Amino acid sequence: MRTINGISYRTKEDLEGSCVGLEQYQPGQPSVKDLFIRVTSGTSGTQPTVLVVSFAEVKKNILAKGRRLFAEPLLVVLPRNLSSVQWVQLFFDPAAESSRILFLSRRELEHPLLAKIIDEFQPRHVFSTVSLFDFLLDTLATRNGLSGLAAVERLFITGETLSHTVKQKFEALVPEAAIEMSYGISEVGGGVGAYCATLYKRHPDSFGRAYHPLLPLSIVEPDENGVGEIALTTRELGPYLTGDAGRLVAEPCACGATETLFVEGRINYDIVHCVGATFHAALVEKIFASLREYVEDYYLEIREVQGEGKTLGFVACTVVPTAKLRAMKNGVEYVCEFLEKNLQITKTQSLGDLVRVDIFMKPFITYAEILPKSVKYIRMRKVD
Amino acid sequence: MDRERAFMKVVYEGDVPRLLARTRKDIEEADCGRIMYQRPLVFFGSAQESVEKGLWLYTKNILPLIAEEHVDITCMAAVRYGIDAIVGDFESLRKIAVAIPRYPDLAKVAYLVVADMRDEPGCSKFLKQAFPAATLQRIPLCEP
Repeated sequence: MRTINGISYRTKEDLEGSCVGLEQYQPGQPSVKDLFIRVTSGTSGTQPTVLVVSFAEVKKNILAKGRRLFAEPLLVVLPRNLSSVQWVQLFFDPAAESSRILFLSRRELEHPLLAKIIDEFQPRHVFSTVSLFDFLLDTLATRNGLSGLAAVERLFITGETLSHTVKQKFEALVPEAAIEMSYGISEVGGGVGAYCATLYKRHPDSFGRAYHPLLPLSIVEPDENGVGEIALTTRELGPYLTGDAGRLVAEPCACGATETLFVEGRINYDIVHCVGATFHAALVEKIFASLREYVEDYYLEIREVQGEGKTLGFVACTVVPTAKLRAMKNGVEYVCEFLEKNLQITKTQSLGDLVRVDIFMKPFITYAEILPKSVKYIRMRKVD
Repeated sequence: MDRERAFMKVVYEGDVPRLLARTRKDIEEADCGRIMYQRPLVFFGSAQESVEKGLWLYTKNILPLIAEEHVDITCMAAVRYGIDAIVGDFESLRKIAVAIPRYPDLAKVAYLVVADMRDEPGCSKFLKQAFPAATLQRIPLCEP
């Protein structure tokens, strides 16, 4: 817990290994229809948090702001089966104007006849995360199967930040689709910030960054520019610190909203998402702590690059070598191999595992005498 | 059939996928056994099947925990949720049984609702040994 200005906020660490919100569950009661289970977990086998989340209040928002979501044949491609059941259950809500829904699990995504499934369904709306939709496009493109997405009018995208490279790729491969991004965190079902087309007309450079809040939000400990940590309040979590940085501006919008949230990344750069993998600053720090004899200091730049027919992850690592590392003939290879072998970036795979299956390029290690002052407190950053 | 609102389930004939439209009524009327439990884990080899059975439980006002691809994540979440039943196919139950030494609380589940179980006596015996406190209930085979 962190207490700021007299308010006690929960953080992600407080939730680890617990079950939150279960007291809301009354088996056999109609209220169950609005409850969902969400499971959040870290990269390297940290204990998951199980949250029983009520949608009774936010459902109105979801069905109002996202009314179009279910109105046309909707393809759902999400990383968790629990999220899929949540969206299919919402799809069947009497208040939703629904048509047909199809979700793809890993089995379908990896199936050689994936294009046949999508062709048969002919989605007009797609709801997915940046990395999974990118993976879907790569897979379909290599099999000449993009025609199944020809009728797609809207892409509802959530999850990681949409880099310029990946956005251009989406626009090129699904040219008829309007891209709508929403902002959410895994501890909250139904989203935290909603897309608004009018908003992007007013702030044209803020696509994927500016949203209308769907929940009561505040900014704690703002700096001189008004940027601080985004805090929200839900029934299950109470006051909660998201770990994301943002700025909240009071401004009336033509859509009726009165506030705009600008999301500015992580508050302490502790997490970077890239092609479906997650880099945790704490794990990176642990790796370099084991290399203390060889590396005095380090800085990672993580980016998405366009490879042959697919998006690849790339890590450029600048290290300040010790005398011992400088004296080694194969020092660069040593650091590279150590990083590949030990840096866990998915629940089950290391960086090296993803290099071997061509999801990441081999890390690029360079030596520096000293790190730039600008990276003094930041050891890891996503670059576009 | 309510053509306006359907969950398109991917089913496999052999290894060839096709779409099967399932309305809420189809799902609600399926025979998935008697509900003697409150916190079920739903775990089928096919996530499509898990989601459909999860929807069936919703129609009975029971909150399901749907299994994820990663067995350890599923088991850890199941322990946190305090599951009292597992609804699944035999192969998925076997995966949980293998994980029980790491998650001993899962051996305490009170109900196993098993679809697609082969008739060999070895299957029942295996489940009885792995989940000694559980009452076994068989449900009809899943649709193709």
